Amino acid sequence: MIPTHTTELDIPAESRFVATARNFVADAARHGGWMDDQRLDDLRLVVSETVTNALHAQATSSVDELIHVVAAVYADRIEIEVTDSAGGFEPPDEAPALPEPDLRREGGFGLPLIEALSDEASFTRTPSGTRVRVVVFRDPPAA
Amino acid sequence: MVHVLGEIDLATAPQYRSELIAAASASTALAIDLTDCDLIDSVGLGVTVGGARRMWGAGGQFAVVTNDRIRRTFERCRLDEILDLVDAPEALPAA
Repeated sequence: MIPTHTTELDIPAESRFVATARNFVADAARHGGWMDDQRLDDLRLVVSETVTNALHAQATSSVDELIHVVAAVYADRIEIEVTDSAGGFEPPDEAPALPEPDLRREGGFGLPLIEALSDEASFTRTPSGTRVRVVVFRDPPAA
Repeated sequence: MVHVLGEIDLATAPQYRSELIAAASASTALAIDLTDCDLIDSVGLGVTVGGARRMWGAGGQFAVVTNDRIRRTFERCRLDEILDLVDAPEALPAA
């Protein structure tokens, strides 16, 4: 299947550009006919978490490269790829499960949120960093 | 009451955290009003949990007022099981 359109964006590795990436993908979705509903909220949050992970990974590695975001819009879904240049990060085979709720735990929500809100999530090592690919279907999967 | 407008993400969470800490140190009952908040990400969730721990650890009260979209994000992370989420400020427990 061929995407109806594909758009790409390079963002500086700064926190304020998380919103830029979020809005960029949401605009691509609306252009593809998505409505402002719960699923678009899910998509925006997935993009936030994915880009935030990339920023954290690069900050940990003291890398200041641009982060590459691709949004491919299909009739029934959006595929997003976020590629960072933080070499050395070992991508997980699969997103970790949600930790037990605990007041002492203020982190660890990012990857489980990506897993919960997307229909597919995969992490690939590239020569210079990590590429995260997530797929969000316009209609949520049947419960 | 800390009232948040807009979106809580990596960029805005530091301000959210500092507002929350300032309000927590000035009160024994703290409510975070997120009804005008459009998005809260994992960083913002963590800050909120930290606020609850701070207030409850000092013997105070802590509640989060949510709209439906914000409540869904808390529920996705099962934080509705450990935080007091209410739909309207009127539903807050008495201080």
